[in-house]
Amino acid sequence: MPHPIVAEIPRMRRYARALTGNAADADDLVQDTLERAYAKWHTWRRGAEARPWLFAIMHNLFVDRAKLRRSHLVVAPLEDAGEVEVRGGQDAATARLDVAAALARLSPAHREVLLLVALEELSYADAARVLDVPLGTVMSRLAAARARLRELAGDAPGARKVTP
Amino acid sequence: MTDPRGPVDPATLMAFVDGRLGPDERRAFEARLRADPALASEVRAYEAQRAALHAAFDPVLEEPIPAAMLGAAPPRPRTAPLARIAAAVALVAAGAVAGSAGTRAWLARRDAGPAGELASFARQAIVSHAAFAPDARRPVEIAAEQQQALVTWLSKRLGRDVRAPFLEDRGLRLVGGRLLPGDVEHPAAQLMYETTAGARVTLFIRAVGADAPPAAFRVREEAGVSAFYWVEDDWGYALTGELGRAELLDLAKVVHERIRGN
Repeated sequence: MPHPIVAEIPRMRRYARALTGNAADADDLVQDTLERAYAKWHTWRRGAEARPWLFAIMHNLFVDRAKLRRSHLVVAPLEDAGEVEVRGGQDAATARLDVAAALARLSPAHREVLLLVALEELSYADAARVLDVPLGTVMSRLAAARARLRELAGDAPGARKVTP
Repeated sequence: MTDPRGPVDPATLMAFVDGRLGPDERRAFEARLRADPALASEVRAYEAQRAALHAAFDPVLEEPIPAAMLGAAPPRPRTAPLARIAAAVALVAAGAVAGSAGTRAWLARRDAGPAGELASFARQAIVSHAAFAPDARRPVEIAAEQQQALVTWLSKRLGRDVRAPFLEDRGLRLVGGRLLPGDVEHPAAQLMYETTAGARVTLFIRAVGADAPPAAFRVREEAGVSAFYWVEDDWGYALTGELGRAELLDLAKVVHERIRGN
């Protein structure tokens, strides 16, 4: 039955897709997050925004899973992110492809903060809440993540064909 | 060339890229950018990252939500009538991307009295229509392309065989459907159809009290939207749309026959 949480599902899926790099893992993560969120819904403060609360639950689950998988962590090939529209010239198109592939090579902590701020457009304060770290840590990780992604995008593997 | 103002504070650089600097700080930073091509190219790279992330992942927002994710939602708890109405209004308002202020205002009214069950059923159908029919981006939870999944899911949640009547011979294409709060015990289903001209017609279905009067077409109109509704085997059906009454009644008869017929 429609629940205030339901309205957040599309954004949770977008974030999870970018975070995990593939649709199946992403939807598993969202599904687990939803089950936990529905179970904990009574602890949610009325009037507070649901989004940071939900993303915090997802972050905790993501970290738990990363711990479980650390022993056999491999860089998963990023799924085809769909056709990429070419606008703004070759540099921009290349950047789009490369950034998606390079994301998978960022550390999970860098990937999370970058996606929360640059893709999900959370405020720095909300990102700090989601990740349960001080604001200063958000800023330093964000700066490091962006710089690292820029490096990686410069030499990201598999510059795939662009579908115009 | 070293800048007399010293190295750029990374937090300021981030806040500039994310559009979170105040006007004075932003102007100061822009002045610095003009004098520092390396810094300017760093900013451009980060802006390109953001654009690339959105280009790669925004399409996920448009994907239909898997039924399992919606199925994970527990039934809403039993609450006092007033709180229930408030919750329903909030839910509908939250879903109503394009709900007008007027719509929201009359959402807050409710029928009182034991005889109001059918009237409140019809109002609910109209409210739900008003909430979702104007939604261009996400009018339904499950699209018609997954019709089997849609009817299976709705049937499971309503505890009754739900069918989406075929209306293409009447110029109505099924868009999809969604589950809605009905009353405390009974969720409701909304099936949405679209005419070739883009007008939307919804069929709202939920259980109604066993003491409801038997089938007869009734009409209710609110805020320029008409609903024809009827009861069959303790289930209420309401067909709502911004069509003429004669046309809508005609359609309601067809829907009634086809739901009964097989």
